[in-house]
Formats: sequence, C-alpha cells, structure tokens
Amino acid sequence: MSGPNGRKPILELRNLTIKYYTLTGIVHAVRDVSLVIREKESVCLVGESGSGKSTIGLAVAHALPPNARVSGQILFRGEDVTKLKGDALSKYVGKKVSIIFQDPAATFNPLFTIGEQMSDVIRHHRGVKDKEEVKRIAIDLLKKVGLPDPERVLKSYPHELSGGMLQRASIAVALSPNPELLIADEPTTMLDVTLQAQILDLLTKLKEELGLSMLFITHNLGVAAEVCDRIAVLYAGKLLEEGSAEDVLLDPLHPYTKKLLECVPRAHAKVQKLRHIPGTLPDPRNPPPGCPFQPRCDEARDECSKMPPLTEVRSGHRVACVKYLGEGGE
Amino acid sequence: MPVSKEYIVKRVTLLILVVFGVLIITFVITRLIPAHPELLWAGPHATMEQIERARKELHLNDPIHVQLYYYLLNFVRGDWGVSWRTRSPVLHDVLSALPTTLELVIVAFIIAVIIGMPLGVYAALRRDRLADHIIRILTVLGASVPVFWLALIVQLVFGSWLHVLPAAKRVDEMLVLRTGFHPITGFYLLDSLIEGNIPVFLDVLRHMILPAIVLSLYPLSLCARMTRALMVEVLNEQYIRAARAWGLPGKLVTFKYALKNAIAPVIASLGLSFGYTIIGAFMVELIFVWPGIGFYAAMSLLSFDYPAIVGVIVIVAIFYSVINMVVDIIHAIIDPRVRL
Amino acid sequence: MSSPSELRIMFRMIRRNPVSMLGLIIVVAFVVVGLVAPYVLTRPDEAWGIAYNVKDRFLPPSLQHPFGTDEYGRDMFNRVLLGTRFSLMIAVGVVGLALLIGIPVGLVAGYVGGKVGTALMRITDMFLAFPPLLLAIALAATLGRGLTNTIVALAISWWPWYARLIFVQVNSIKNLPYVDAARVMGLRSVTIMFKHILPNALTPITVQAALDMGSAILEAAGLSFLGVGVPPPTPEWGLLVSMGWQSINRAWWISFFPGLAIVITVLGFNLLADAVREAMDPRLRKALIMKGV
Repeated sequence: MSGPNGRKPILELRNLTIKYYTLTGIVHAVRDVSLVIREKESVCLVGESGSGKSTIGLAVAHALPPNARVSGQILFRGEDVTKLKGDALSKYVGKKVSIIFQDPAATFNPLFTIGEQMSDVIRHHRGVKDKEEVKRIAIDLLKKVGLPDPERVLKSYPHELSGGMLQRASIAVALSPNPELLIADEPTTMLDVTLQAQILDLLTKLKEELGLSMLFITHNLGVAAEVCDRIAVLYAGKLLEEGSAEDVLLDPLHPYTKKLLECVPRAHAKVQKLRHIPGTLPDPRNPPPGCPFQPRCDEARDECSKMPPLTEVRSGHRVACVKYLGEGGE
Repeated sequence: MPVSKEYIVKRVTLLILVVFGVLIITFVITRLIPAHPELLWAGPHATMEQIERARKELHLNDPIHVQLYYYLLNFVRGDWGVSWRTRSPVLHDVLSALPTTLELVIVAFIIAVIIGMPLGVYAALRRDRLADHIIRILTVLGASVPVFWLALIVQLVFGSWLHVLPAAKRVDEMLVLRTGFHPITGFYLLDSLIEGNIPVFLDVLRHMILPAIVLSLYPLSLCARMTRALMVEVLNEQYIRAARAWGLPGKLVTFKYALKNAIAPVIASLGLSFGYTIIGAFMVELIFVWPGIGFYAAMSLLSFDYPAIVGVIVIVAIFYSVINMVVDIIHAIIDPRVRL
Repeated sequence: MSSPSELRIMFRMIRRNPVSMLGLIIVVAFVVVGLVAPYVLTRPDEAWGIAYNVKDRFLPPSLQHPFGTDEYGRDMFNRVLLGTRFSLMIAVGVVGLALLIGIPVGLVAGYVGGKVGTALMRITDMFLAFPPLLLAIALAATLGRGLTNTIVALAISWWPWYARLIFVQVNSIKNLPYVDAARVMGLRSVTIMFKHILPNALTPITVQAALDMGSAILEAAGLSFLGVGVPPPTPEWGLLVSMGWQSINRAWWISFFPGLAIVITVLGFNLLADAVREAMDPRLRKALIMKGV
C-alpha cells in the first residue's frame, strides 16, 4: 500500500458515502469514494459546486452538520474515525486533523478577540496553562503565517481585520495543535487574486516546513496545479479520476477532466470565447445510476449507464470511465 | 467607550421628546374630562370666592395655550400637582412608591432570567426532542396567561386556601414596629440587610414570593423562548462549527461562545418586555396590595385622581425610555461591532 | 415570498407538528364559537346580563351550570360562551383598525420616501417609544368605557407597529428590479404602489396580524379588568374575571372560567404563530431533519 516514495498512507477513504437528510429529500452528496492520502503529500479534491468535495473535507474533520449520515470508512492511520467517541474522538478532532474554511470572517466568533479564541485552542490542545506561554506560542504562530504585527492581531476583533489577515490567522489556529493532516476547504475562493497567491505560497511553505499532509479542496484547477502533489476529480459525488498532478493535468484521461482543462482560460492564447461545459449537474436527490457525467459527455456510450469502477490505467493514475475498462486492473 | 456622545445626545433628546409628547397627550386628556378641578382643589366647604381664586390659581380661565405653557412649566420645575386623593404632591407620592415597585420588578426579572435562560439553552441543546417540545409549550403557555387572572388564582390557592404564604401587602406592620425597621433607600430587602434586620428581611421575602413569581411568568417565558431560538440559530453558525472543528470541548463552545452570541438579542427583547411587565406590575400590585406605583395608579384610576394618573404615566414613560437606553448600552458592551 | 409552493410547505409543516395543529384547532374553534355564540345560548338573557336569578346565586359548577353562577345568579357557562363573540369582535376590530391606519401610513412613507417618509416615520417612532399598554390605558380612560372605545384605544396604540413593518417591507421591495421596470414602462405611482408593491408587502403583515389577534384579546381583557375597557353587563372575559374578584373567596368559579377561556384562546393563537414563524424562516426550513428514513 505504500506509494511511489514509499510513504505510508495517513488517511484512507474506503467506500465513503455521505447523505444529507433535508425536508425536500435525501441529498446524496458523496457516493462510494475511495482515496488515499500519504504522509507529507497534498491531495487536491477538484470539482464543481455540488460535487461533494467540501462534504468529504468536513467529514474527515468531523465537522459535518447534524443531518448528515456517513457510511463507509474514514481511516486515519488505520483507525476508523467515523466510529470514534469520547476521549478517542477528542484526541482526533482539531488535533491530528485540522481544518481551515472558505470564509475567514465567518470562522471567527465576532464577539471575541482573535487572541481569546487562539488561546482557548492552544490551551486545550497543548495543555499549556501559563498565560504568558500561551501568548508566546500564539505570537510565534502568527509570525509563521506571515502576519506582521502579531500583538495587534491578538487584541483585535474579527471585524477589525481584513480577509487576508483573517485567513492567515485561521491557518495559525489550525496549525497550533501541530496536526498531521490539514484540510483546506477552498481557502482562497473568497480572496482576491494577489492574496490568493500569497496564501497558496504560505500553505506550500508550511507544508514543506512542517511535513504536513494536506487535503486541499478547490474548484479551480489552476490553484490545484500550484499546490498539490496529487489531484482527485469529483463529479456529482463520484470520484472520476485520480493521479499525480502532472499526470492529471498533462495527460487527462476522463472526458470530464479534459473538458475542465479546456475551460481554463489561457493568458497567452488569442482572445477566444470563454468555454463552458453545456448541461447541468444531476439532481443530488435523485442521482441516476451509472456515470453521472453521461448526459454531458461527448464520448458517452451505452455502457456508460452502468458506473464503471476505478481502474489503474498507469502507475498511480486511476480513472473511472468505460473507455479504459480492460486496460488495467486494480 | 462603546457609547458615543452623539448617541447620548440622541437618546436624551428622544427621552425629552417622549416626555413632552406624554405631557401634551395627558394635558389634552385632562382638558377633555368634564371634571372641575377647582372644586376639588378648593375643598368641599369652599365659598364662591375661594372657588374663583382656585380657578385663577389653576389658570383655568386662561386661553388653552397659556394653560399648556403653565402645565409644562410646572412639570419641568418639579411641580407635578397635588394628588386629589392623598393630598400630597404627586412627585413625592410617585418617587416614594417607585422603589417599592422596582424592587418587585427587579426580583421578577431576576427570577425570569435565572430560570428562563437555562431552560432556553437546555431546549436548544435537545432540539426537537421531547424536552424541547415540553419547554416550548410551557413557554407559549406562559405568554398566554393573563397576569391578573393568575394573580387572583395564586393568591386564592396559596394565600386563602393553603395559607402557605401571605396573600397581601409587603410587610407585616407589627414586625416593623417591633424590630424598629427604618427604610433608607426604599428597597426593603436592601434596607433590612443594611440594618441587619433579618426578621424583616425574611418577612418581606415571604410577602414578595407570590407576586414576584406571578409577575415573572411573562418575562420568563419570553426569555426562555428567545434564548432557545437564538441558541439554535447561533449553534448553526460557521464560527461555532469552526470552534468545534478545532476540537474545543462542547461545553466550552456552548457556554462560553454560543451563549454570549445569543445573549445580546435576548437582553434586547427583555428590555422590550419591560413595557408589558410594568403594566403587569400594576395589576399584581393591585391584587396583592403591594404599595407601589401600580397600586397607586390603580387607586388613582378608580378615584379619577387625574394629577396622580398623569404623574404615574410620566414616570413610567421616563423609565421605559431609560431602560431602553440601558439595554442598548449593554448590547454595545457585549457586541464590539455595535457602535452607538 | 408566499408563492403557492411556500404556502404548501408551510401547511405541511403545520400538519406534521401536533402542537401547531392544536393551535389551529383552537383558533378555528374560537372563530366558529364566536360567530355562532349568540344563537346557541341556552340562557340568552342571563348571558347578555339582562336577567337575574336571585335564588341561584353563587352556585358551584354542576351539570346544570357547568361553570357555576355568579352573584346575580347568572349562568357563567352562557356568559363565557357569549364572551367569545365579544373577544372575536375585539380581536378583529383592533387588528383590522390598526391595519387600516398603519398600512397606508407605512406604504406612503416607504414608497414616497424623502421628507414625507421621514416625517411619517418619526411620528411612528414617537408612538413606538411609548410603553406599549400605557397609551391604550390612557386613551381608554379618556374615551370612557365601551366596546368601540376599547377597540379604538387599542388600535391607536397598535397601528405604529404595522406601519413600521410595512415601511420596512416596502423599502426593500421598492428597490427590486421589477418595480423599476414598471416605472420605466410609464405606470403611475399609485398604480405601482397598489398593484405591485402592496400585494407582496402585505402577505407577511397579514399573517402577522392574524396571529396578533391573541395579543389583542389579552390586552383588551387587561383593560376591562382595570375598569377602562368594556362596561358591565357585557360578558367580556376580562370584565368577568374582575367582577368575580369581589366574590372570589366564596365563588372561585366566577373568575376562574373566563380566565381559562382567555388562556386557551390566546394559547391557540400563540401556538399557531410559533409554527408559522418557523415555517417562514428560510434557514430553519433548510436545516430541518426528515424523521424516520
């Protein structure tokens, strides 16, 4: 089960299925997804809104809303975290796995200073009681995420700081317990482009420095290209393609991935019409059997009405498409 | 400093405007009543001369705007007239009855918050389960019961039938005389503690239990309901889910974080409920013979003692505005985003 | 806001919740009884307070007199029953009149805006700065006792709430694109106001108003109890409670049953109001869990 570098797996999703129970029906957000993340590896979950990528991130972080039902397994270093309770659970949540959210302003409680919130997390996870020590750790962390005036940030309320600063601060909070896996749920989507680049650089740097594994969630392939070692493409709750970043971006196998790449506007090309994929996502309350991309796929065939399993076409590069059935085996 | 000068100026101006509005309305009301204040002023054995002099003194012969002028002027100068019933200055009557009512209302609100808030939090945490449904029905019930009816029933059952608690008045006069109790502030609970007079303290407490509980029912129900609704809303917010995702223990998240987020609007609604509770206090005082403003007002209404009625209305209006301002300020203290 | 599917979801939510169904049943029962009461009385003269039955004074509850009799020997059950009619009249009257005054004020203030709008809203705010029932009591005391006077006094203290609600609604609708479209097409202001803005602003307000009827009954009962509302011998519930006060030690039932009627009726309205409020909250609707799957 060791990957190409012989690294051990840190997180494994096995047949993960997640449903939301709502008044208007059951939403099938994630359907039978299996994935492995190894140590010091960053994996990007890429997909449109509604593909289920955020749900997976929340599930791993144990941060799903109460109307969600999880079946399948989420194995963190071999232990199924979906079954954890009590003490074991509190050793996992926020400590071994940490998460940063899309909207930094909504992540912090508006009535408390950043310092108060950070102190609570540091005190809880690191067991540090001394106020000065806690403050020292907090300032250290804020410096590490590139905030120039940590003392001021600690004393500030969320509404007094900009989006970029808040996102850095939330990264600092997420890193304070020294987690092994960091989940980043679209951390740059709400920031402007320059900030985006800065935050991505920061995350890459921290990943190297701290030896973190990352589960990076985004809808933007460009972002995925910058940050990730491996890319997993999700559509309507199903995993369609997964492989190293080079493999997926330079040699995409699944028709959906190919279309996604075509849609990325290129800076150097001549002015062209913005491309898009015609059609819409299937209704998550009533997903059709078979490949979910079938209605919008150029290369669809009759066999597509039965969902093909993931096949390893090349080493480390898997795809779930009838085109490649029989080419490999897993 | 969460409160700006502009805010204070604005609120005080509003307060003055409201008081003037009240005064004008009460002026119109008293002029519409076909009563003859000069007769009551002069007394039952007055001669025609004395009655005529009374008319002059009360400016009753002057044109209406002059009357209004003197009316407003008097109020500002602190001359709120003399009660036709008690024959003492209305302002004095009202100010001495005020602490009596305040004591009752404050205790009622304390009960409301101490019981109401935990109930609300409990219901929010057990949302949609049996405990939640029971609490919700009880709070709706509490808001549907007429205060005066409840007061009568409670007084009947606990006072007359079961004889467990005193059914009327504030304190046992004999006990006051025997222990030499001299109130300073007018807040008997406080005064008795200051003097170290435990028997009177306990006695006042015993007299206070029934009216305070009856009075607290409405704000209690409101408090529980609002706390529950707000906690449910707050617990769903991203910053609470983030706090949980960061691994912070549930109790900390609920009681330190979520509760603070929920409290500010709850306090605001409690301030609003103050208006209804004051009227409730009127009825409770009337029924339990609790000698506060409500009792004074009710007696004045019954004897058509207009200066007294007006005095009560003005003091309540002032108080209501002050309470609203205090609630706003508390809100600003809790929520740093609010700048007044 | 109130497209047919939204209303349907609201009804489905009300039906699912047994507590709100109870509220609905009580409210419907109240309206029905209120309408038919004068015609189904077994002792109409006593109910209206015209007849006296001196030999039957202070009878405790029994089969013949389910709610006992009062100090004049009048059957309390009939009186309370007839009281339903008066409570209904008061509820509809107060809310209706308050809407009649408040809606035009809020509508004009919201749509016209500018100096006129601000001035109107300032007046409204001054009314709102008053402690709620105080104004009603003062007015009722001035106008004197009587059913109409009570309704008027309460309505005058109530209209500012509705004016403000409508104002806020109109303000938010006013800036929606389709209103601009109407204006560009050349429709006159009045037409825009009545045909386009009003229907959308009206729906939440009318729902709110219907549910406010419970509070109107409660407040009117309070006024009658204090002696500034409805005069005897009208069998209004609050008045009945106050009249039973003098004899409460020997005949608890005279005050008890009318008060109980108030509690049940207002409870019905409040339960329904709670359910409707939850149904109208978009966030709550999304987060609701479907049981038993």
